Amino acid sequence: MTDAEPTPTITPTPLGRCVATFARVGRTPGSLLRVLGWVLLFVALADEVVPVRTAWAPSRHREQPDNLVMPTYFGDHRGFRTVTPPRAGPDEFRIAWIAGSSVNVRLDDEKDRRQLSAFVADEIRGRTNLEPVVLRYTLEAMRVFDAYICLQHALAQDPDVIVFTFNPMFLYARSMPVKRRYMFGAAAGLLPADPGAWLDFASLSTPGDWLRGAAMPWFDRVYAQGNTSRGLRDTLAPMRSIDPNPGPMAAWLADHRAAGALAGHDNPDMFWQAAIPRVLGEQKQSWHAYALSDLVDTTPGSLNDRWIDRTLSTLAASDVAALVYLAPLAPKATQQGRMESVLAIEAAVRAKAEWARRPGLTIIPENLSRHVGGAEFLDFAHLRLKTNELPDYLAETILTTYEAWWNAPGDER
Amino acid sequence: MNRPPIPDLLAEAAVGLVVATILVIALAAAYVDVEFVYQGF
Repeated sequence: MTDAEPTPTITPTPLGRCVATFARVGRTPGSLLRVLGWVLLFVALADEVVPVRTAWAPSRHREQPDNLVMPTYFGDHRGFRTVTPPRAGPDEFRIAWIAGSSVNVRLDDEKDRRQLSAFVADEIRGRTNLEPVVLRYTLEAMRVFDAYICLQHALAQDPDVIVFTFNPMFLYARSMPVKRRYMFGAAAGLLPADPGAWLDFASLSTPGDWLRGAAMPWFDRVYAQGNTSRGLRDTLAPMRSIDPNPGPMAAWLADHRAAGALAGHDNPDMFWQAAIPRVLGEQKQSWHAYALSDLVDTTPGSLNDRWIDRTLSTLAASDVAALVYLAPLAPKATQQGRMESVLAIEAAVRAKAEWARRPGLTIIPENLSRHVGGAEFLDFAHLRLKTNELPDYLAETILTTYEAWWNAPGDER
Repeated sequence: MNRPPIPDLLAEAAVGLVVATILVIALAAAYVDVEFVYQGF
């Protein structure tokens, strides 16, 4: 036999050795556990170096001891502040007031921009020996899902009365059941054990929202930084699928509607910020909301409709006095072919007021400008109070509603 | 149990860092809500 030829040996290059090393990562349970440990350590380190952000109040309107802001600022995933005071005494009359910006009212004195709830609280204080304390759930441009989540939070604060101010234009705006995706983490902790609600919630949220929701109790510094990386966010976001400079808006809208991009799509804000100004050609942004009347869809069973039903049935089943009303609309909102939308909204709410009826639950299905004057409209839904008529009307209705709840036999309310 | 070689441990830490970075971006930045730029009132 001849001598065997020597086995050729391959000397791996440094790159090859490196690849081989990385290829071994995660091959054993021990390796996987160590990687997981590193992940947790690095996320925790990132959480430590990110500065803590204060949970800002969302409204510029001043906070007072008897007028507490409950939600956190835009983009803050914590969702709600934990500022609820303990009950002060038997005379405390706790009002949870859930509303959009239509409750931000002005007086003739421009500097006094208190919220409507503060004026109503003054009225109640003047008429009774009650000490009103308002928990303000004011979220500008509030949509029905936001309102529902606020309701779930408010019910846990032991209120005597819950007041809902719905902006009629947002209530049934197609594709706009939710405004605040940053609240999804908090929302997940507040949704009841209702499979339908969870299914609809899943259809509104993304895996990223769920991840944030799951991580929320532990990494709150990281998740509360929603405003810091807008550029990256915008780069990654699905909103890029909608061209922000589409040319003639009517054609653009028609195209996107035909393509389903505005029906059930994930980006109602693009409609608000890009489409609406072009549709109307108005200079002042807040007037553009009239274009929302184009989006009104009161079809029973729509996503908006389902969240409205959940909100009202939760209220009907709760043992709390409640007032639901539609915010006053400027005369311009009922002109130029928009009246049909307003009537459709009011008819839909009227139908719901029938089945949700119980003592101590008042639902006013007409926008309040049909009942109350004394205010000048600054735009489609924002008011300058000229007289005390609106706070007076609301205080009276709240007290009547509370009285009806108080007088009802326990099994009827 | 044998201790894994140092290069393997370093590789695991590197993978952990990459995954953690992706997670932090997902938690803090891949968030697509647009702030409501409210100018009217």
